[in-house]
Amino acid sequence: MDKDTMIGELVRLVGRENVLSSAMHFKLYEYDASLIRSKPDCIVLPTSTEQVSKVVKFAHDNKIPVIARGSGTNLSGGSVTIQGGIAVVLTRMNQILDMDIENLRVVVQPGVITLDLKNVLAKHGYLYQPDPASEKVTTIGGNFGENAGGPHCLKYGVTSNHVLGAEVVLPDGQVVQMGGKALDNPGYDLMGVLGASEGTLAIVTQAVLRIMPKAEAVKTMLCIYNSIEEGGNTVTAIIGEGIIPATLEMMDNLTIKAVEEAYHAGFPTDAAAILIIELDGLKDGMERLTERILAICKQHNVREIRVAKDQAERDKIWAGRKGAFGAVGRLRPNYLVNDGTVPRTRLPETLAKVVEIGKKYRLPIANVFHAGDGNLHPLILFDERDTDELERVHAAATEIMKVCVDMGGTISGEHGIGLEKLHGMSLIFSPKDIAAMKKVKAAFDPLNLLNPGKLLPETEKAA
Amino acid sequence: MSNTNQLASHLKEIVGEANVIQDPDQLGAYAVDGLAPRAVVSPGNVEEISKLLAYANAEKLAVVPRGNGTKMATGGIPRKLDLVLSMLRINRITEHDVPNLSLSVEAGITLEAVQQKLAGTGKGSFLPLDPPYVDKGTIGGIIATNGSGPRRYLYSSARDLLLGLKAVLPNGDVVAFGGKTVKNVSGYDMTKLMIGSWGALGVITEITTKLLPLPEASATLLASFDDLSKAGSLTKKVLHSVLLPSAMEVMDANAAGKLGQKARYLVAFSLEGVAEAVDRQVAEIGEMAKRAGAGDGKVLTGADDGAFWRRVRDMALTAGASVILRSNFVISKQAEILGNYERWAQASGIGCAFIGQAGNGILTSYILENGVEKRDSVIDLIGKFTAEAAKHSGNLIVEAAPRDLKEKVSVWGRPRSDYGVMRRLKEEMDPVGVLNSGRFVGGI
Amino acid sequence: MEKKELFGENTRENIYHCIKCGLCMAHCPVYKEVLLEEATPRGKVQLSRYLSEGNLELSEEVKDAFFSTCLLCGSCVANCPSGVHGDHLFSGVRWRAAERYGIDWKKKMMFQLLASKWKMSTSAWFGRWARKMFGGTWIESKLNAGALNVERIPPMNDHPFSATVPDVIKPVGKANAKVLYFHGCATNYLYGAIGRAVVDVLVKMGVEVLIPKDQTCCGLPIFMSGDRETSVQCIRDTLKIFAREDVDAVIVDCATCGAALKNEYAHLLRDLRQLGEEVKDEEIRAAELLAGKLKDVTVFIDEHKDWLPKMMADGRKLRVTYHDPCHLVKGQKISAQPRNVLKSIPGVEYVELPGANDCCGGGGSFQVEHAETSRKITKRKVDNIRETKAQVLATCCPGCNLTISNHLDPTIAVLHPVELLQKAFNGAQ
Repeated sequence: MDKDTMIGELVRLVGRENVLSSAMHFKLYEYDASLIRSKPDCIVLPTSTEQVSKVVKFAHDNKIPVIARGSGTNLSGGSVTIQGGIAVVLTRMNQILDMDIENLRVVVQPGVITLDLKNVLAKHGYLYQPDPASEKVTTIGGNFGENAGGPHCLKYGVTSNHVLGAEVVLPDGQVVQMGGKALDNPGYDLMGVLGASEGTLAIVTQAVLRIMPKAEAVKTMLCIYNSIEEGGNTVTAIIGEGIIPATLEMMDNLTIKAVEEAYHAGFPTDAAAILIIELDGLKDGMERLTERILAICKQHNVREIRVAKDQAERDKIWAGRKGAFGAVGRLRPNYLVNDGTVPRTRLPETLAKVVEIGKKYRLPIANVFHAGDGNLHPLILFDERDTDELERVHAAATEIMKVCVDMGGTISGEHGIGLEKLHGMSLIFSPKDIAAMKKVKAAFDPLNLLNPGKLLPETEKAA
Repeated sequence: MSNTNQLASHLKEIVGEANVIQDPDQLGAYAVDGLAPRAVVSPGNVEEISKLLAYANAEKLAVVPRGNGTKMATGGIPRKLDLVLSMLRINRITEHDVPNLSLSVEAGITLEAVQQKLAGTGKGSFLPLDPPYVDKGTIGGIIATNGSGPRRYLYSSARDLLLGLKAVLPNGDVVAFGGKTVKNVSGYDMTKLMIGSWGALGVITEITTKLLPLPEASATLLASFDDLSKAGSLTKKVLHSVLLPSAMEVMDANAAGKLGQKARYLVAFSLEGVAEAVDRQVAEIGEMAKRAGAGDGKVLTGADDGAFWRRVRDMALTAGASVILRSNFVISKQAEILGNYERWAQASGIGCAFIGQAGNGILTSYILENGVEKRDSVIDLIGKFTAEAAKHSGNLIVEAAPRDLKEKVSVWGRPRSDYGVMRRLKEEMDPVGVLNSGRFVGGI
Repeated sequence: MEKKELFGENTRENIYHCIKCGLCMAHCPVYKEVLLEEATPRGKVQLSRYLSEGNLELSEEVKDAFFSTCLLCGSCVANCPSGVHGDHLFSGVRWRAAERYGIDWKKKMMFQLLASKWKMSTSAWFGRWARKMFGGTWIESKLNAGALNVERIPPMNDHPFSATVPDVIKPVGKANAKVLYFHGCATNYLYGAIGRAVVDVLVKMGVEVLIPKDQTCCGLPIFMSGDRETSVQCIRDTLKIFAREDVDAVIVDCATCGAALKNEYAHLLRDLRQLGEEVKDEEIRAAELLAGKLKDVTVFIDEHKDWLPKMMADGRKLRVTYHDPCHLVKGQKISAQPRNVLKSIPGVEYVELPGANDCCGGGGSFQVEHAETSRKITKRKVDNIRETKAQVLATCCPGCNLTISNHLDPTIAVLHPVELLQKAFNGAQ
């Protein structure tokens, strides 16, 4: 089907005002937050489940690829239409449909911005726990598709632990319900496999989320270290003591410098690392837990500890952490963010190896990491206009992935495989593992129209 | 299709003669809904399982995996049963990474054995799952059936605890997913897919899971009520408060009686954590209970505390019920639904005991021995119960029932709109229909 | 069509620091309403890149993206973790777009008037007279001012403010300081009361106030519309009059004028030089000098609060809230001082406005030309103000004042903080 006919049909299906097809728009929707660019053949902005269903059915009947997209801030190329096709932008489906506080559930459209939802819930004294650093701009749908984490996932889990149901449009246009407000609906955990499926299995048009009452007390500490290793060892020791804080985040010196320049959060720029520890829960016993944690920090030669006195101080600490990625853009024009995860206990070792890799490829690497769950984000800094540097960047990234796998970890903790890490899948999965995943894909999307070319590598069928 | 002798000799080749049961007298113990298998085989390692399933796949055999058989009664009646695959010899703890708070363990070991090992190592940890059948439930069975219990309220369930999983697929492929890390989005989350898949997509051989440190202190608070709506108002208050009990159960007089407690309605709270928090919650919830109209409360500590919850978990055994129903629905309707169920059971003259997880929206109904004879009334009751749960966004599963009753009801409750996808999934993963074929939702 | 460079080298470098993280989307008031990628700052930075690299032609649609989906409020610049100056890129594109497609003749005429003191005064007088003679609700209802309700646009001053004050006003006794007062067009033609309050307060603080008669428009609204030539004329004229060593400060009462004089002049002159225009070193030095002297009136007052005369409380309480103008809080990072001034007034019960630094949606001509989007943004601001139950909305920008008062409940007064201060000196509230 030629492009103009396709565009004409889409206009007929969802209305002119919901279709974009100019040269300018193709360029605007060719990217996300990764380095990958590729233009779609058409862009639609549906405003209802029905419209999404119509568009998908049309695409299915004409074998046109479809990619669902929210704010387009994907870090692994997941939102880029590498095989062309229709970009279905869900930003206009941004309503909170049902605040069912009595049942601890909220039903939302996929285009709701995560932080906006949390702000509405906060007014009622409730929380939706996942808190990815990008929450002020990412959508619930995007978070679910990548199974976004965030600092609090150490204690509370990731997005898929809090999305309990969904109305979805299947690749053939059918609308079905998966999961729901009640727990344990009989059948396979399709919701489980939908999370982190990176838009390759179905398009979520409504999500049922789990909410909970706000914690009674929160204690946030900023711990400053003269060595990353000591910081890392503190993390292991805290958990080894049987204390599970709500979050354990670390940043290295290069990142601290960038953050200070951008946000003036008050982080000392000569510190080798800072550790942000947060406890939440009942106030009883929290002082004692805090004392224990501070003692452990001191045992590991912490230089200075600052305990946030109030919400404003707490917010300042977090603003520095949440803006870290973007802040390093001041050091060099571009970054490639790695997303490897290792068992927590092997974090210091892994970081040491990352430093070596940086030296080997002559690239500055800033490190931000979720120390509590072993998810590290080495930010390789470079200028994409320098092709030699770009090559070294990709080589360094691949080596970092390999290190993580060697340490008993994996290649993506929360940003997804997308296109960017496709070549790393064979480091952690055997051909049989991948064949099993392809069966899941085949069950949902036999024609491979939904976000083709992502997540699953094109290996030969298992022997 | 090979005849039984061919089958047996092939099996013996794979697992060794000692690990094949052919004797018809012994096979009866492994029957599913009265249908005995042609053989029972106990592989000793994953390779053997792989060979067994590859063989079954090629020969189109019907296979049912089994641990200690506590949940064999759940599910559709098998149309044919060739092989029961016992996982009991696959039972090692393969890695206990103490500082990382993670555990890798094979499917055939009981959860209880695992808990004891964990409690006795280092500072002590536990796997926060508390499903029924305390002594017998095996890891593989629990995970395959998404077993959970009262403590799910605070600690969530398997899908929130498992980090990775290894399995053998129906065609014999040995696969591994996830790993040891808390976060992992590499590829599809196959671990979640396998949890609760009821042995129909693959045979789980090993899981890797998060652990939690053993709580510093614990206690149980019991509150008794004459009025169900008052009990409901208490659980509602606690649900929306900052308090963090690990379990919150509401039960009727029959269930309470089986636990040695006297109450028209009993609400039980399990409190675990740092000592100060436990003390505070015992006091505060006690106060809240009084204000809600409860009678004198009771506090259980130490051995009594542990024993109480073991009996809650094993109500199926204590109650001696041969029909067990499990309803799920939205959390806030617990008291209303329990009340309706109670009334309808009484009206039909069917003795029932009810235990609800008041913070999760789960209610288990135990139809007591003397009620089972009234077959048609029971069927009627199940229909009513199912409709009621469905009215509140939920469903009902018949967890256990005699075969002739199962033939007349939909054991997996109301069908759902996503069954088509589940069917295609089963077709992709198990085209021949080797594992638990026809026994899952929608006859998959 | 010959390829004209869009940006000077320094400005262009911004493009390559955009990592497309998208965090700017959370702060863009237009994106919130429109939800299209071209409405995001990121999108416009990428478009700037495509245009600059020759991968996209400048078209009507592209021009529209830069004009209709951007208020040049600077929210993106203030929140970009990489420090990308999107505003510099966007105004560069507007400039070339204006060159290619022209500017609406009514607008162009308006700019010519603003840039010429004499022409503007005459027109203002004429306009006021015409409104008196021929105005009235019927005619007003026929005029189209976009999102603005015509009948609620304030009448022009009886006389331009500058005509009502001498060029030098000395305080009683010894002067603590000497300042130049850049009053800007809004005060001059619409908000004479603000001008009088500024002068009154400064003089009572013992400050000598110089008000040059030949001052013109700061040039920023003209610049933002893409008419660089006319705006550069304003800049050069302003520099000649205001870039002086011998004063302690150059005072402004308007956030936009302040941002222009403090942040934009030097940068723009350098940019023009990099594009091959002739710019003398002393012009750049003058711009830097002016930037150094520039102070928003509330900043000046806050810094010299010990010069303030005693204020009398008259027992009445006034509930006041404050709106941060974009060009003040984002452009100049000033948010504490206006609040300090308000809180120092006895009888004022200060309440913080939720979303205080959210854009008001005015954007100068934006609210006239892109009414629908503007209205949606303004509505959020108005709803927030209403929620505070304040009796007065204070703000340091006549532009914001115009927009907000146009849509706000008429019982809520919209005033500049200096007006409240002035009333407090005179014992009335």
